[in-house]
Amino acid sequence: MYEHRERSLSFGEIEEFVSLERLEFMEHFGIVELQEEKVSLDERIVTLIQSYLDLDENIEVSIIADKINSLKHRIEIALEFKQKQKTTLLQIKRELKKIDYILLTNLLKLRIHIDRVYKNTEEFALKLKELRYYKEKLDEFSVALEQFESFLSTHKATMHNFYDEDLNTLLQSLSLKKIDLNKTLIPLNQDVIEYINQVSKHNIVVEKIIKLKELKESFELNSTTNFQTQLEQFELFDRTLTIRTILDEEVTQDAQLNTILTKISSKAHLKKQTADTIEFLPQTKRHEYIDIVGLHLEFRSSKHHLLKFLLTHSKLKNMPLNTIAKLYCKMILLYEKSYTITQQPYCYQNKTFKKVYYDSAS
Amino acid sequence: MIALHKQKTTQLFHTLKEGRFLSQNDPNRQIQNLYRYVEQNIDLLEEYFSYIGITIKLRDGYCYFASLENKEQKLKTIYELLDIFAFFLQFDPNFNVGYRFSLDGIKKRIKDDITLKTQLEKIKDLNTQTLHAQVLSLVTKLQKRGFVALENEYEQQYIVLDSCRYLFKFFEKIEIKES
Repeated sequence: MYEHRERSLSFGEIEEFVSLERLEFMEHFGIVELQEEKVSLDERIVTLIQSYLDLDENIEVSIIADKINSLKHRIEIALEFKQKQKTTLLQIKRELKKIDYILLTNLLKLRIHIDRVYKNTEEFALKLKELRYYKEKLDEFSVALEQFESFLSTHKATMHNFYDEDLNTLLQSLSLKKIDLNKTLIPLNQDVIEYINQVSKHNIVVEKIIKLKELKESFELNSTTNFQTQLEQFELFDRTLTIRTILDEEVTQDAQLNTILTKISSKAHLKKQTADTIEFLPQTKRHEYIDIVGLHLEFRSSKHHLLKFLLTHSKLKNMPLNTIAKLYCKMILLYEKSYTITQQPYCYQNKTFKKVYYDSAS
Repeated sequence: MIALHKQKTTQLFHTLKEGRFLSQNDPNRQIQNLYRYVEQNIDLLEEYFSYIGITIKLRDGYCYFASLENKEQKLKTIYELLDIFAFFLQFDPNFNVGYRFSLDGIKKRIKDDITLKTQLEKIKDLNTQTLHAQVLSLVTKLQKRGFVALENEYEQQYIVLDSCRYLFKFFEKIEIKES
């Protein structure tokens, strides 16, 4: 009921979970509202669940910038006024923990809300609008995370100079958590883009299928569409076709099986065949996984533009240009806000790329 | 040494030979294992089936035997699938890979929605003895092709399988001329 809190549910939809008698009991205590065979969760219960789980709709990361400014101010105080250092360091640690908490809870909220919208919102236009809203929030989150990362890298050394053991441990744990946050953020970004694409695409396909059915019923399908051409390329294997192969049980039990297998083995480069297995010469395949977060972090300290950085990277040597180009596009897509895409062309193997630099001001 | 397992290959052949699709998100564990087997051995299976004139194709979460022959039968099949998909999209536009529905849910909607009822009646070769039989035979048509699978037998709940992407892609490619 919480998942569908924005609408009333019919008895039919929830009868498998709760009986009418129980619903009436819950209504008596003001937990649910019953109206004309529709049931909805009381607003106070929704608020209670939200506050208990800290799952309200608001994704609020703008506060991070204020907190960073406040931290910078406190570091200056701690440096200039030695007598105030002890109390100021406590405030710095508290603020750092708060930022960490805000980032983590907001990322969790984003994950929950994005999945909920995608799975439960029925209206297409609304679903698309909601997903686009969360994409914006996700971008805001990325910016806030980068601001915090940049703050930490600039002020880490200063903070270490306070020789406070707790602060040093906290800074180390924040660095590790930052990597985890980045790792969670990338698939979330990909998911939301994928969701938006799927919803937009599915909406078009739904309309098209309904239109095609109308055209079929009015015998206009062939004259108004390229249906026949597409049908020729439609690779449906038909159940009316009869196929007799060595895999048919009839044949495998046949006395001629060995002869058939030998014939096939010579064509298929089979090494040997037995009654249970047919063995092929080994074909090894190596899968390599590329750490995009790591590349992004390395690129930040590189003087080259993105494509040159990728082409000269030791781990990417001998990779085909297509793979490098895919990586180039993915990184731009994920870290668009942190990069400056210039109009300067960079030609490589007869292909032209735009020069992209890391924007240190971001 | 990489080897094709005879029993699994035979099972795969018998599953796909009538034009059925095999999907990654099928709740049936046996089908899941078979799909994994295809995924792990696709190169060998492609080569193996090619010697008997069959093309096996592995796509995004589903696999099938591909054939460009028998256009007339394909036309009949695609017309039928168009009617069925249009019915389900009328029932719920969210009908897509991973979508879950129950026979009871469809029956309830048909009782309230005359358009849906008319659409159902237009679909050929359905058992029309009762509404339940009619809806069941409709869903069975998709189930036999491997587009949906029974997920919960007790509640008669079905799930839409990855293979539906193939049909959506086909319909997506069709261009409607502007009148």
